[in-house]
Amino acid sequence: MKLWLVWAVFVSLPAWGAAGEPSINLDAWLNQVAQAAQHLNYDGIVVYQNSDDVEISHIAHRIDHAGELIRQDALSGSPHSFMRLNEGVYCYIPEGNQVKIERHQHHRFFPEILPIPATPLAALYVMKVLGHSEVAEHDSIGVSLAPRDAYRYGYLLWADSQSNLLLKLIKLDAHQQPAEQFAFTQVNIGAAPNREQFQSGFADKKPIIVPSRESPAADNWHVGALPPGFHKITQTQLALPDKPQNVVHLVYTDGLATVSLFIEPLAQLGAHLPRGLSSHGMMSLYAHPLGAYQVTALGEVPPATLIMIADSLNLTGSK
Amino acid sequence: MHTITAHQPMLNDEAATGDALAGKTLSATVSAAMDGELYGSALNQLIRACKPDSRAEDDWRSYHIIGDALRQTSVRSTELSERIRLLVADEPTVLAPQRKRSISKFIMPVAASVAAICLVSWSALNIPSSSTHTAVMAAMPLQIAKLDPARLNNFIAAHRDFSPGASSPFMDADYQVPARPAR
Repeated sequence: MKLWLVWAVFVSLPAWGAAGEPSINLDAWLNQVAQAAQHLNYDGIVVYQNSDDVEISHIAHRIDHAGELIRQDALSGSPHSFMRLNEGVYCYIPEGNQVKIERHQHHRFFPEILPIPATPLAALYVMKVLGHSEVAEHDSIGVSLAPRDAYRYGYLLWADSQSNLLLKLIKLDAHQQPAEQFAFTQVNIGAAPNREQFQSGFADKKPIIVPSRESPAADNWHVGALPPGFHKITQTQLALPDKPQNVVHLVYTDGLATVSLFIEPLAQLGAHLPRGLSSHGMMSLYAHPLGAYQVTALGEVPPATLIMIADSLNLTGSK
Repeated sequence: MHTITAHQPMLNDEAATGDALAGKTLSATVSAAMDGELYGSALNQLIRACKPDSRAEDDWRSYHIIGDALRQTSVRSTELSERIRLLVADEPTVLAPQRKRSISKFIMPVAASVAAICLVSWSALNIPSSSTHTAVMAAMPLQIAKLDPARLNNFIAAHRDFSPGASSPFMDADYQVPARPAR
């Protein structure tokens, strides 16, 4: 009996709160939520879950005269910390009495997930208010973003009704079922975390600077056909261990969904070239050869998006 | 200093003296309490100690989250756990009706298996419902096993700088950076 009730509750969840909700300007709301994550001080515990993985981390975000400071410490799995001061990102990986420090060109953290401005998302997703619910002991407004086409998946967001800080994000799969979730389980909003919290915390370990694997890439790869809303945000080349030539990394996003293309010379790959399509949860993966190169596309998008982007890729003159 | 770890059951009330609950060992004591390894006066003392200490309360909550994580509680359950808890608490324990129990005994494993198959199996490709259909159908399934795991992990780690998520959604491998000291 109780089991049926549980299922009934689950099935009826999306309907809850939809009625009688005062209308809010969702475009403006989404912009405020996008900006709150960048402009507010906060400190809390974030749990990331997918169907077979759970990762817990501590996130501290501070805005002061020096700019934006973010620290993310993994509390589960292999220990590592990310530290960001404005645009400089470093990953700290402790090992024994050493700590490896690697520079990253970029790193995106929950809850800084939404693009600023977030307005272009309205053309790609249908927004709907889900109502109020409690997240990490904060009254939150839930909104669903349903894709307008088949090139992206849907999202459910909850943001603190007072500060607009994004507190929970659920990524939905092709069947509108939760596939991944980021959520604060506890968060202090408003009070700036101490500056000392952003010291590396590995002062007792010998620092080893690992050279950044990223370097600028020439702009000679172009995609002929992109799904609506997608645009390129970066092109770099990655130096991978035991690979003589760098791998070109192109990143495309519609603001929420992100696709990575990796391009490398066929010559440095073994005889058995992987090709084809696979997906696991929300993550799709598509590999195929293109001339003298192997292209691997992956991202939390439907396979069709990867195929469209990767198949229209071409190499334009060298420069 | 007397310390208590989660795996060191406290069998003796007397062992939980004041210093066992001192700042440094409070977390460990909370952990021991969660595992049901604190008894009598030690437990009472911990509860008293926790009242004014919000950090101990946070520890208690964090350890439960970690416990849930280790038990691989699924995405949906956090959404529902509180409601489920309330529903279950309200529900009287029914011992007699055999038939209902046997139905639920049958349904739940089936539902669980279906869910497991949906979630865990290498999914039959998520095919969108439009003209993209044919392109997706035309692409052959990729044998993940054929991919070089180190290469794939590097790709995913690079992707994660732009799209936060699981460190390694395609396999159980640790996030790693090659050890090549620069200086």
